[in-house]
Amino acid sequence: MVYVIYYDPETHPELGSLAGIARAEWYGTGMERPLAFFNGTFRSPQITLPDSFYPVYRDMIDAARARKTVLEMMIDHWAIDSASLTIELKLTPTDSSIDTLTTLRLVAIVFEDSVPYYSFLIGDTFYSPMTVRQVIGDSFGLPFTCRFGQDWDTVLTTPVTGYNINRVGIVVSVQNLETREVIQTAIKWRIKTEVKQ
Amino acid sequence: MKMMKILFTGIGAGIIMLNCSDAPLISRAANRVVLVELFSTPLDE
Repeated sequence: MVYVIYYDPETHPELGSLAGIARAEWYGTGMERPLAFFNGTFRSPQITLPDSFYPVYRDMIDAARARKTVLEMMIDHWAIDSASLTIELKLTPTDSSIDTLTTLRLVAIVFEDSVPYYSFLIGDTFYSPMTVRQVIGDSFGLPFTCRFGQDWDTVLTTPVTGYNINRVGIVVSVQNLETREVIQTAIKWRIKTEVKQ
Repeated sequence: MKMMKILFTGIGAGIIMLNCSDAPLISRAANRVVLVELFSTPLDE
């Protein structure tokens, strides 16, 4: 399982992103916070009792993991410097049903795994985890199609100016724009320091 | 106009190149990695 966080930027613009605003509207989150989506389709319930948080989310994660899918994906190579990041993806469809999906998107989410920000309310510095910076292409990724029986090799690159490149990672998902279902996901937690395979 | 500019900037920033090669036609189920997208407010709010 991997997770990313989109923050509302009203009080801390340094944590917000255009992708977060656009995708919150697309998912129809309204004013509910926090609110999570598992694989794009399972909406988390609102938890009123703190002790019930863990079992509810555990069960949702287990249910999502138990569902098989029709695509394998891995990040073959990755690189980052002060100007840009680049990754190479390999996608392998494992079932012919993927041929009928015509609204697939590669949603490559660039994040920083820890972002410091100062709270005037508390008077101290906080660290925000897994903070989304941008989605490559636009907030809903890049359109593509693939067919069973064909492996796809893909290169994605984007500028990263202004980020702490020591803490930048990337999550790449294949999402069906029509149903919002996330079909498959791959991640590199820290692009700069993760050992190449 | 601003949205169009943002859109084209995003598209310009992302470069995608696709190549394909033949793979065996053996249907099978793949394990799925779960993506959780969390919409939240900063920790001090």
